[in-house]
Amino acid sequence: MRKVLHRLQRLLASGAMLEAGKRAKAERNVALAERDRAVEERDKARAAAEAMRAERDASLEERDKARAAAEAMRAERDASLEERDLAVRERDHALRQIAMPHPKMTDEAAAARVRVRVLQAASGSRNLIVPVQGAIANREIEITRPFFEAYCRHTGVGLEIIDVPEAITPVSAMASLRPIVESCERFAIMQPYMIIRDGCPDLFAVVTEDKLGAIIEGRWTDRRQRCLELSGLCGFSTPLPMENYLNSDLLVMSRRHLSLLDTLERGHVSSYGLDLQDALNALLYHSDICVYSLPRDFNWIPYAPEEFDWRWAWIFNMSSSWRSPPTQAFAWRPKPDGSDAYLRARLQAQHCRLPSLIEITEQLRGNNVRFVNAAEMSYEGLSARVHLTSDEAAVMWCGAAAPEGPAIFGPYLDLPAGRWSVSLLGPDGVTAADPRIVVDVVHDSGRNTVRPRGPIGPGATIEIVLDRDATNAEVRMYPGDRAYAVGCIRLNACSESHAPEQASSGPRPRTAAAAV
Amino acid sequence: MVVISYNADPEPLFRSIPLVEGHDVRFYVFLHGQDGALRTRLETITSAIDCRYFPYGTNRGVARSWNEGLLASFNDGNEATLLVNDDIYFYEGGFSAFANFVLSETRRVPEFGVVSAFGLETGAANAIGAGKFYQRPHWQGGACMAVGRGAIERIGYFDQNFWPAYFEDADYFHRLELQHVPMLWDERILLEHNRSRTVRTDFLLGRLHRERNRRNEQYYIRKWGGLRGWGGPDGPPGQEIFTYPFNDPSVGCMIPLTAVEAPYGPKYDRRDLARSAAGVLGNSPPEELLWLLSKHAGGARRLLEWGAGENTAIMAGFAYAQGSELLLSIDHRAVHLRTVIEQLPRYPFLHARFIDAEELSETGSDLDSAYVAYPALLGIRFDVVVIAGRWRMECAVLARKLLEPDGFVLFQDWKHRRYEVLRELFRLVEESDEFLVMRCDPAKAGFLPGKEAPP
Repeated sequence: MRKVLHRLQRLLASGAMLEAGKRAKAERNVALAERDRAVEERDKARAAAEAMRAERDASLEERDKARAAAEAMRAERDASLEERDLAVRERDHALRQIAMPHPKMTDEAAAARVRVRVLQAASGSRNLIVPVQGAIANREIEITRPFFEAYCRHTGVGLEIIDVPEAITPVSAMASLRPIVESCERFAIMQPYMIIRDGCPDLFAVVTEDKLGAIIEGRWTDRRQRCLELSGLCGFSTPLPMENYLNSDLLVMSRRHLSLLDTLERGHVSSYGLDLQDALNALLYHSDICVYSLPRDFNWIPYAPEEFDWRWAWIFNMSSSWRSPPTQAFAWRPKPDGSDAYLRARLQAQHCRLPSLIEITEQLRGNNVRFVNAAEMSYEGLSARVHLTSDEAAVMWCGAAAPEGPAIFGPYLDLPAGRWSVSLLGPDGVTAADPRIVVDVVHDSGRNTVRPRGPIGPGATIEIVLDRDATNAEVRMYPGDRAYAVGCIRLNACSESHAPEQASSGPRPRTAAAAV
Repeated sequence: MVVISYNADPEPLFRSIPLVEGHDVRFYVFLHGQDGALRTRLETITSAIDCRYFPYGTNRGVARSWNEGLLASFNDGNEATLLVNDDIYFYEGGFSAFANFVLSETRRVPEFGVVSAFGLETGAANAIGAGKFYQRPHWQGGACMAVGRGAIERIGYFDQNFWPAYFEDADYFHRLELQHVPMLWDERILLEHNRSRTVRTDFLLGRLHRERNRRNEQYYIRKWGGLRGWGGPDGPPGQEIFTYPFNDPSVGCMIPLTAVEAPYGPKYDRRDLARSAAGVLGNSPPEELLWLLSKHAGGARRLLEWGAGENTAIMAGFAYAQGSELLLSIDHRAVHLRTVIEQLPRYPFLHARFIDAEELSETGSDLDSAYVAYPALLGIRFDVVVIAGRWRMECAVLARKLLEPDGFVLFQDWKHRRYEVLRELFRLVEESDEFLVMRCDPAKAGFLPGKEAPP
């Protein structure tokens, strides 16, 4: 019994133990699960932290990059600012250099002198004043002077061509005219590179005495940038409107406007050295002088190649316009030290203006001509190039070399059928070039030869016959055993004539015409 | 020898004809051009040689003067009659050789119609020129030919419906061919011919040539059913299909002297040649303008036009011929005006102005309506004012103040009711199809033209 009881007790005890063990096991499992969950959560938290850290690192990296970029930009900006400051300093320096002290009119060397008083106007009446300053202007006035004279004769206006010392600035040059014009009731100032056509109306009748006549350049070409810059240089609080910006090459004035020249003489326009046109515009902006806007045909500046046509104008102004788009950007001038070395200079329209002026004057006399300047030609390598003479005329220069291909060629013109004379001229556009220069004349990219290769001969003129309208006509010059220079090429359409050549020898038969 | 001169230098031709080589040459020289220098030169030349000189000074037509020359020559009893262009010249001995050939052929073939020469074509290879025959020897046709009595007897004279030039010789050859009249030629190269030089070197003639030639061509096709052919012994056959003029069997190839002025009557003759004797083609506004300018404005010094176009070329050509000092052409279309002007020679007297009163123009000034008022700004008076552009009534009103006292206004396209008021402003001089020609009338205008200061 006891055994049974004991066994029962043991059974009960083992049952309890078993129960307890089960409970403990379940509890342990719960604990383990909890631990696993905790571990899992910890891992998750760790991963999240890791991700956040990575994200932070990435953003930090980006920030660093942005900082570096900003740094670089700042450095760049600083550099460009520095450059700009340097440029401004240089410009200011240059402007100060240009803005030389204004000469006193009592200074004999700086005062303008009347070179020629071509036509004498009655006292106290109207004069046309043409200031001539520098080598280029001296060449040009010789071409345009007959047209000034004809105009003055036609309108009864006096003409005075004034020598202006080369050393003074254009502003001072204009101011130096003050003593010359002060006796005039009315006066117009024109530049020597302007051509007045026959029959041009009287400028003093077009512009009333109380107004200053000029063309408003800002109407025809974009002068916004220039006006902004000028306003900055003069410290205007309100920028000069582009619509007010006038061209100073032709000014029709009266005694009322002498104050303008006085102000120019005093040089109180700006602390910067301004060119004449800017100075005048700055002065007029804040003055009470009333400007009469002349029609554009009284000062026609060809702003585009297709506008190079004097038929649109009474007064044609070459100004700084090109005859046609230049093929060359630079020219070479001899070093002033007398050595054989050359300095490169930017080629300017003024250097090539003379042939164009001659062309216009010839055409106005009824001649069908075309003058080709140095900037319209093309050059082979460095053996040929544009040179500037001592008096600033651009010429086609070719050095001595073996005569292989053409050294100078162009200008690819379209020429109508007929007889043409082709002349190589010196820098003055009149004298003949070296007769030994070897040339040929071709068209259509050299496919058709009109004149075979050979020395141009005496008078530096050859005659060609185009049996049909030719495109891309070229005059090609070859190098020879000595260097040569050509100022311009003159193409002249000859009137059609088929006169037979004169008999070379022997008595000519009596003919109907010879009987006359 | 019958020669018609228009604008070419006459010396090369006359110099190439020797007077002492066994031929007595009598010239019949007709002047059709108006160039004063040429007239003087011809007077000098013709007064020194055996010549009958006809200085008409109008472009009366080649056929008309050829007919007159043929008649005069045959009446004078000349042994041979040659028609020679003024743009040829003979090589040395060329004239004598050709004259001898003509005389020998006259004896050999007395009934011959024409004897043509061969010559070298020079001048230009353009359409108005020698074309494909440039620098090549070619049959000269009517440019240098002898006309035989056989031709006059069988087909008569040249058809004056061809005006002012071209096609009259082709028509003559075709008629000779249809009537089987012998046509001969001298194949030696005896001369040089600067073909069509007259048209090529005269801007105004060249400008009018296209329409004049088209009308001739139109008439030729009407007359023969196709374009001209007989281009000489080496030429291709023609496209003519009619064997009678106008395909009318009742009309023959003969044009007798009595019918030269109206060879085929009102049924077939051209109706646009009423003023051809005066040098003007009918039914053509440019020709009409030229006619009116020539009639009323001879010697005009300054001309003005509002509205550029075909008129501008005519006025420029007229001004050049007159030696005028100013032609001012105003238009409101920049591109159009530029196109018109680029087609013109660079006449020193020509001024073109683009002015648009409504927008900024290339000439824009302080004036309000610059298009109309611009000429008044210049203080210049004009002998001729042509109004053919915009703002016509305004232009006409201003034109009264711009005109010289004896100046004219030509108002184009006038047949509109709104322009009737013009007759109140001006004194009417002439009404043509296209233009109204008017002068200032002080009584109507209320002021004396040319006396009032310009506005």
